[in-house]
Amino acid sequence: MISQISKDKLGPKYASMKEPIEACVHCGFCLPTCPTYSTMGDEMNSPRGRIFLMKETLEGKIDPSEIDPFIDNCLGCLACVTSCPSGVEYGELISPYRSWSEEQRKRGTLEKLQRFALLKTIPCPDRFRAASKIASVFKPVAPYLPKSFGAMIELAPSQLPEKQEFDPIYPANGTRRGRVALLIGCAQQALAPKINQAAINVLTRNGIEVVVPESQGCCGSLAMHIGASKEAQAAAKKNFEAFPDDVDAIISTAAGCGSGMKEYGTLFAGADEEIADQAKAYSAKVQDVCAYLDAVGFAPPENSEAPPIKVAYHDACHLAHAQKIRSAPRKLLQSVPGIELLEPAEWEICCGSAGSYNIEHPDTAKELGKRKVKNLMATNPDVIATGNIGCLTQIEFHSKDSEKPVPVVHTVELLDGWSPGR
Amino acid sequence: MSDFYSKLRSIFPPDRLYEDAARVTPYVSDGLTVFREEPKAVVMPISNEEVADTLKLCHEFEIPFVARGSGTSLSGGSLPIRDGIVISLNRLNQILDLDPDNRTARVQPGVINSEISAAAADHGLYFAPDPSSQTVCTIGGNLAFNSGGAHCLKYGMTSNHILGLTVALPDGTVAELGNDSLENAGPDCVGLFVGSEGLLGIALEIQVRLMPVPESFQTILASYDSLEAAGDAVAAVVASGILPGAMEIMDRLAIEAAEAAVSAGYPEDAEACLIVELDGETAAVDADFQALSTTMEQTGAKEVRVAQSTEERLLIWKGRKSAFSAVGRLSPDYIVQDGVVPRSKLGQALKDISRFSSEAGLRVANVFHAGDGNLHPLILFDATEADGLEKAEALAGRILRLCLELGGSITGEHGVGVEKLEYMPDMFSPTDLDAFNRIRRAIDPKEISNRGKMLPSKEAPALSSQGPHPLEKAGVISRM
Amino acid sequence: MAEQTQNMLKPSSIDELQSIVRDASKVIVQGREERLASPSQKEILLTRVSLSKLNRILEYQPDEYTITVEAGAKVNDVADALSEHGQYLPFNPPFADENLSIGSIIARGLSGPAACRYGILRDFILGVTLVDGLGERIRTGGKVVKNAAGFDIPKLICGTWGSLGTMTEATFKVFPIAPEYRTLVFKFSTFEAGHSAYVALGRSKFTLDVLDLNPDGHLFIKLGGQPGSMDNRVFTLENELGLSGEEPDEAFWDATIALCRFPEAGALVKVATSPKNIPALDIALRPKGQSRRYSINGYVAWVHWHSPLDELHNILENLGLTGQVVSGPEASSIVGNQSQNAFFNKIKSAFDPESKFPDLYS
Repeated sequence: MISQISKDKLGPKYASMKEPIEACVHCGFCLPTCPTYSTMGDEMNSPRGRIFLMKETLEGKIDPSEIDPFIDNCLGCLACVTSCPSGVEYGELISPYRSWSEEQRKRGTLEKLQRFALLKTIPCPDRFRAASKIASVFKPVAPYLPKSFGAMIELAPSQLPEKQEFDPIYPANGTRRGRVALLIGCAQQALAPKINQAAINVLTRNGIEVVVPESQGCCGSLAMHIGASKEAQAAAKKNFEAFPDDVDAIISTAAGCGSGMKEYGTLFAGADEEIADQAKAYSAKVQDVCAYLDAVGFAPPENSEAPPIKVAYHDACHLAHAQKIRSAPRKLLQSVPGIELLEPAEWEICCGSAGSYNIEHPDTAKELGKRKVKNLMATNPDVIATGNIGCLTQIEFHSKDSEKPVPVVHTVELLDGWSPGR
Repeated sequence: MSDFYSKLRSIFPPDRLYEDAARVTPYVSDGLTVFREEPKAVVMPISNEEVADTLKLCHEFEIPFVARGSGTSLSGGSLPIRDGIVISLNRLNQILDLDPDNRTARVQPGVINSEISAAAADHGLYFAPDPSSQTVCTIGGNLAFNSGGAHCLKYGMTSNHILGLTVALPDGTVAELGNDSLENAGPDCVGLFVGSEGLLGIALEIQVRLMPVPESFQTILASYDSLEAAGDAVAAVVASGILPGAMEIMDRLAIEAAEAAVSAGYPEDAEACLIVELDGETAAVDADFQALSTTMEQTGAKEVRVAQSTEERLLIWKGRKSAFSAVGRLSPDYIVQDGVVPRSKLGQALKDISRFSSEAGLRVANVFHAGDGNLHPLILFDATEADGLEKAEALAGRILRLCLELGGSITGEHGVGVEKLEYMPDMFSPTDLDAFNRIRRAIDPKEISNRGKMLPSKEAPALSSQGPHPLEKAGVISRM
Repeated sequence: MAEQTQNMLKPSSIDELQSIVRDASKVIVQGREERLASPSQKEILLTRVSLSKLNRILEYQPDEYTITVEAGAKVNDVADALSEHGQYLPFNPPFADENLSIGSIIARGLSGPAACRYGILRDFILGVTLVDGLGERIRTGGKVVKNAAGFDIPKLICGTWGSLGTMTEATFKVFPIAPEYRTLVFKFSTFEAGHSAYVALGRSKFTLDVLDLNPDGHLFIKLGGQPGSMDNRVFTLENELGLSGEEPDEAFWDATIALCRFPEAGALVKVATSPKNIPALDIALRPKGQSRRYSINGYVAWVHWHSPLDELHNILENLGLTGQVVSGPEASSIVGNQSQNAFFNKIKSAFDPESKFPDLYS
């Protein structure tokens, strides 16, 4: 599709948006896998509709403020990238576009306050913990608050696990086969420190030394995905310093963080060369824990007593679509004795978590969450596994109402020998 | 006119009536982006009554309308009409009834083609028409354009699988056509309605025929050193008396694109590949497969591969069905043609197309339903060149006229839409077209239903082939 | 000038036919001149036309799977020409003994039992040329197996009994004849047992050429394929049904519904139905004791009707079904549900604004 977008006008930071727009042939193959299109059914809430709107806006034909609602509706799940035969890299368009439009946007006070609150709490485990406590007090009045504030409070966990500190280094068991640095994440570390613990257990048991850089912070993905590129860059830079160079890989246990860190190249497009190179080098090392384990070789835990369990696997969008990792977690799970893997319908459709989406767009997120839970439960599993903390929380939240709720765990927990009784 | 819109507002709440730029703009084109036209409004009905009421209003005020599903038309069939409205049927997307014993389903027009098969799968049934965009396109659009797919030779087109209809005629009256049987008693009004490109009204409920999923498949992928050799192989298969479910050919460019899109394992060093699929009862397929293998051995294939699993088979098809869009990787701008030639003239047609292509200096990728002689030359061009599109359209016109000279048709399955309007007078005489217009006016005297599509008419004088499209001259459409 | 015998005009060219239509005030095309309907109707102004001189096979290329013939060509001649190249008309035009013309088969909208395998007449008619009520010659559809240009008049015209115009030529898609066929009868003991097997088979993996049901519960089956595969397929089929298939008797069907000839008396009615509707239809027909045959996988019922047609009309209307009389003095009458009526009459006015051709819906 031809466009009249002027690269010069956009400048080096945003010029790259022209390519995905022009690569789109408007065939519509993205429509059925788009969670907003499949719930709303209108063109402006579809990937190709958004691409068209972004084109018109970047050409100066429509004011960005007019299309904001439809850009905001996008969960950034990138299912459209998986389904696109023409190879349109939507992810390389939507993130920069959000950042570009954020520069032109005037937000209302309430909305600003909420974004501020999100950007300041979720990425900081301590603040997140504090905020959760406050939120739990407000739960009874959530229905009376503005919709998304209500959602924020509704979704906030009523109780958080004990805070957990990690050692700076965990040596490999037996012969050392590799050395990695672990991103412990922010929200995940507050919500479920057991995930990182499981990852450390599995990695070390498989002969991998794990470094947990002490001064690390949020990777900035959440900010990046909602167009707050300044905040995202600051977070990323902090981690460039915090992480050592002498590791084989930087391991992420959260799909959202992993995919965000792999996008650092785009985030620092147009920045000075030194930092851009640093970003690229860092990005190149980022690996999802399952992909890494699959690549270096994984031995399942020796637990012959474990009862057989049926595991429904949920593809996190930022793993399956953004990082194109689908087979590694399945392969690993199937190698664990006693695990039977179940495949739910509509694997490609987002669960509605999508970073902070379930807070900003509670209605759509709720519909998608229920749909996802329905598909997962239809397989009649003993446990649901996924590779992303956001999905985990979302699915857990929406399965509360199902007839027979089942535990929702991270894939790596199962690789660490998780069983229902344990 | 403002009366019309205020009445429209009384039918639709604001969240289902779009009049602002941000919500109307995404509807300016369908799968054929070289044509764009902004509608005055887009409405999103959720009931048959809303559709009928809208049409009554359009009829009263003489406002043209186009019904739209997923907007995947490759002929501009769902292109908006100037000063008209778009009726988006995406929320009429329920499967109303599925009757496995009668092998029928009753569906709303916004249901996606492959969803019917998915719903029928539990009963061992499926909906046979399988246009390449089947995971996206809606049954309403399939019906309006009598869509085809890869399995038409044996199983027919959409029309052969639509049994009964509830339709809203262009004046808003609702009529029942056909029944829930495969057979008719009396005239086949459903047959007329299907493929009428939206000129006779809007289908509200569609009774489709389902078929038992074949017990077995054998899918063969053969590669050849030339397109002609692949074409000859098709002739050999036909001559052998075997009736395959599908026979498809892709040329080198198309293979390259499809492989990049889905990694189906197509032979990338081949000039052409041929997909032949047998389906039916296991014993029958096995026997046919023996006969087919013998035939194929004599066709000089470089390599013959047989799909070893359902996954492999589906991947071969996924690649084939992604080919059009995948060509977007080779060139961001292309137009797809859809001409048909008698199968025995395939070789000649391909040779001529290749000659036209080099004369025009434009690359042409070929993907086609070889069993039906249905060609899909994809003409790649550079829209940033001043005359890029004109050159491509001139080449497309040459190819379509070639199809007619060889005794074929200008469209096998994409429909005439706006894109092939100017070639209708090449295929049909003024008398034929006059008869078509009489039929159209008998049902829609004000010519408001998808005005400007299929039939060159008063708003859309056809007949010129070079320079600006006649519709552009008439101010009906504009591009880019 | 067109030849005239017995009050019947026999044009030998389409031009002649066009001028006949232009000059006439009422035209009727007679498919079977040897059996003229009794000249009761307001006859004097009626121009009778026979297309028996327009009877050529115009184009037949076996490797195209298509054949183009003139409307007056006899179905049996076309079938012979096709079978020389191992091909056939897959919609299985019935009433072979009547020696009907192609035009007559199309006008009557007739498909035979073996349409079960691949589809009925509408599924195999690709193009038609006709002379409309203005005397204009209209070509519609195409000569290739796939075509989506213009209104699909070839389908519309099936079953219209010449009410839209006079067809002069038609193009069909044809298929290869299977190398071998088997015909078997499965004798279920009751109608109910036969019917449930009938429905189950229709939904099954079996690809049958004929699947008909007799009211006594007997299933009539034909299947075709490669010689090596037939024993195996019959074996699987017998296993599935839990019955052995028997060779059918020479006269398996009552002559009036054998679909070889039109019955001497009474009306033969084709009812469009569906597999699940059959029991209700059969129960409604039983008291009348009329012979009937369920065909094409349960989508067609052939009923030989001797009572007043109104009675059948009421039965069908109650069941929401439609039928059309195929032979006898009331041929072309549509009984039962007539919901298409208004729509079709508008279409007819487009083809035949001066009402020169007979009406289908009164």
